[in-house]
Amino acid sequence: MLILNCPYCGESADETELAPGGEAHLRREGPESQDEAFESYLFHRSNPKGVHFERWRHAFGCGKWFIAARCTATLEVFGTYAAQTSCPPQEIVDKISERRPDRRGASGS
Amino acid sequence: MRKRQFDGGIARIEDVEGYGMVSLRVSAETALRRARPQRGQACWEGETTTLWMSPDELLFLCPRAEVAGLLRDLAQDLAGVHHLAADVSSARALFDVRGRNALEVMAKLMPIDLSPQKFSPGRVRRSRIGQVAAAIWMQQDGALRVICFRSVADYVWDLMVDAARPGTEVGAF
Ligand SMILES: [Zn+2]
Repeated sequence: MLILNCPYCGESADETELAPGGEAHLRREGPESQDEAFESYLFHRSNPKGVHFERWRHAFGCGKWFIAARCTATLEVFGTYAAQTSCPPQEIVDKISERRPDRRGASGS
Repeated sequence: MRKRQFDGGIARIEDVEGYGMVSLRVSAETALRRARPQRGQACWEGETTTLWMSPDELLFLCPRAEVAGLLRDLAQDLAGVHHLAADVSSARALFDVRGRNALEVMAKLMPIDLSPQKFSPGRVRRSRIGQVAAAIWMQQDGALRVICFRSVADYVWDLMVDAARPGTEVGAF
């Protein structure tokens, strides 16, 4: 069972209160982009076994979108933060480095 | 609709009719000329209950006859401020659940912490009951109030009555 703290209403939300929104921090490719980049934006997802950044919506609660950093293998949650964030906040990155010292790279993939 | 009442189980449940409801969407920073509840809380002013629904959403419950006046006041207070105030009185059904096991009855149906240490008067929580969205709060007298969309009110009623059947105490709290 997964419980995420919604950063908007502050509630501990059971997974059954949430709607999943897929990988977070994707960069939208607009009308001027290359076909390959646009295809990748639409379809290619990292789907890691391990640390992952995901969008979730507190569908049965306050209704807001937020982002969660968690481990897909152990369900350990490193933190949640506002959806209006283009990359993971430093405190989340620090928490992940502390818990997963061997992991390279600070963000998404 | 006929007002339903369930008694004789481990909690008393009844329909509450005659309430008006006004939904207000306005930024969290906007000052209102009325009490604004803290995050996750309800507050009371006269006969009006105000529920915190999300950072930019409040729900007012008041006697139905006062809805027009409330909308007029909000329009006046928020003139020039981006907001949306709507009469949603018919959207939701309201229930009263009370008795020593009221929290336990609702805890059977909702994925939230309803232990008495955590859930006290003034607390509001939006979540789900069974398969549908619902909100619950505790009145100042310790009774619980539950709202859900009117289209699923019979479903919620049946679930609550089933969870309050005689002899179904769990003793979790
Ligand atoms: Zn929330």
